Amino acid sequence: MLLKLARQSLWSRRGTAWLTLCSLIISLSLLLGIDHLRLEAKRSFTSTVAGTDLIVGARSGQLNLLLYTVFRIGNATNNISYAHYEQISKHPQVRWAIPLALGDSHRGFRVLGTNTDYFRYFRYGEQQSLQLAAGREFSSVYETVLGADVAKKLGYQLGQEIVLSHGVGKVSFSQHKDQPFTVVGILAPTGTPVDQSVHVSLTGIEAIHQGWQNGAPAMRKAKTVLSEAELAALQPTVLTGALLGLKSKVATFAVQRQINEFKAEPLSAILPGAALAELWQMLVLVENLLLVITALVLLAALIGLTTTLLAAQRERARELAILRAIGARPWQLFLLIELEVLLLTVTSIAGAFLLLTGSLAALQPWLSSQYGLVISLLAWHPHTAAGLGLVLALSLLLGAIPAVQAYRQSLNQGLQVRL
Amino acid sequence: MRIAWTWYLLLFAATPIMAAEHGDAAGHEEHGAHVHGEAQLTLATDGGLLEIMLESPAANLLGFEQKPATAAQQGAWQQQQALLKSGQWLQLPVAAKCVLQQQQLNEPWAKGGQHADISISLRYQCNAAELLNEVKVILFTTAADLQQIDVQWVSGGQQGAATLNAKQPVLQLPGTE
Repeated sequence: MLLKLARQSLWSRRGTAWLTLCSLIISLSLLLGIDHLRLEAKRSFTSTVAGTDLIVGARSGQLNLLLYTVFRIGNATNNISYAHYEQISKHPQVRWAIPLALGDSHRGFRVLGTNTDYFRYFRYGEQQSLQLAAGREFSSVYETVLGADVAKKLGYQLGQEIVLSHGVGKVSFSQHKDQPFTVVGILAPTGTPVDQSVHVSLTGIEAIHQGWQNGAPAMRKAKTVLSEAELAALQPTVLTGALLGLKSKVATFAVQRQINEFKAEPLSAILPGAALAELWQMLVLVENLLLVITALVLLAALIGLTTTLLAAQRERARELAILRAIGARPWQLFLLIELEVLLLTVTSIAGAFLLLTGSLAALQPWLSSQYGLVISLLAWHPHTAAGLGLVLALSLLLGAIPAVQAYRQSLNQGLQVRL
Repeated sequence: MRIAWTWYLLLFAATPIMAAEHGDAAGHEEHGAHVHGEAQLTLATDGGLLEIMLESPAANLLGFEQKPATAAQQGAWQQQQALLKSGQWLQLPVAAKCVLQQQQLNEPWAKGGQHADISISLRYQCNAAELLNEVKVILFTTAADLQQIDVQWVSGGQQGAATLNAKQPVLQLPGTE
């Protein structure tokens, strides 16, 4: 009965109630959203490097190396020679090695040159291996295996021919038009940057850059179609980096040290998990700052809610007095106001989830293609319930201010005819 | 038997097969970071094996960096060597039943130059490695000049990083599977 009363009373003041609700929804979704993004980014990043013991690349900072080799963020400082990669992959402690050659793209998606060991050894999440949703692995120069998102978004089927572009821009003026690739396989979704990659063989990468000079097609040669013999003779020369899996985890640091001290070429080997942990350590201050700011925004919105209710008290004096006159007890009025607060807060929580899920769904494609981040749509974590409980408690506490006032207001005060 | 096999691999890994080539490479020399007050620690576990390596500028642990000249400095160095090799600067959970098997201390003044680095590796065999959930470093009380240790670890199929200091000298580990 009281609930109905609270609802209808709110409805009669829907103008202000609506605005209060809006400010609550916005601040709540901000808080939930930031918390969610922070945790999801961590989960997504960690899951991507779950199976890799070491990442090898040209000498640079560990974060730089991690971000460009695995997450396709930023650019390589330098390439490494294929011969040295082969040497490292033969190290007695190395169980598997996956070569990575980046730098080309297809309609905004990165092209990853690698070999079939990628399909065999790459692990993500809880040690899951890559699965083909359709087709097979590439086996010759002009074959490609697409990540799940690439195939889905561009609507590609097996057997279709695609043209790769030089560089990583969405619009590229130098395309490898004369050497199209045939789609022979499509991977199952993984929720990692693999979904946004176009995979080709290392020789494929080598082939499309044959006859190029200084990063552009040579002017004189009209066409660079390679003969069978030329294709067979193709050997990869440079790589962007490599992923390593080791036989014994205890050897991780020993192998890392040896690669870092590699005499022939300045190389860096990093532990992806440790590099990520250091990244989170660096970001913890920013994270906390953001959370504090959004918490304050929420507090401001809750105080705004109280203010609105207090302000409404005066115009509602009559309404409350009539309720008293028809037999409502003071505590019932107290409850009525608190119920209104509860109604507003619960509605705004529901609204915040709705808004958040909607905007995440809208942002998802952009986040995953730009940052390789796969964010789940539901912003729910084990601690979310406790956090929302706290928000509810706080709003009820603040709502007690107008509620107590309603409790105290005497009957005649409201019924008096003011002149 | 399994342990012997791992040992063999580790010994093999330690041979500088990669450094062997390029005798012709022109003077490409490595200089690790050398920041006074800071040290690096790496920790790796697999099976029952625990390997820990600490690298620190000599000044952090000894208070001086040149080759010990006086009797007092000699004494300090002897004492520090004994401590580092004994593994007593680490506190491992008793329940993990770790036994120190091998230790290796470098010769800090072998390279010459102004800055000397001490590096100590310890290898333990743990009978209940799954209970190895934390490692406490108690160097901060004995080495007054040591401010912080940057840790990278591999354990229980995970990797991680942490910073230890006098206030927070305990490294938390997920424990092995």
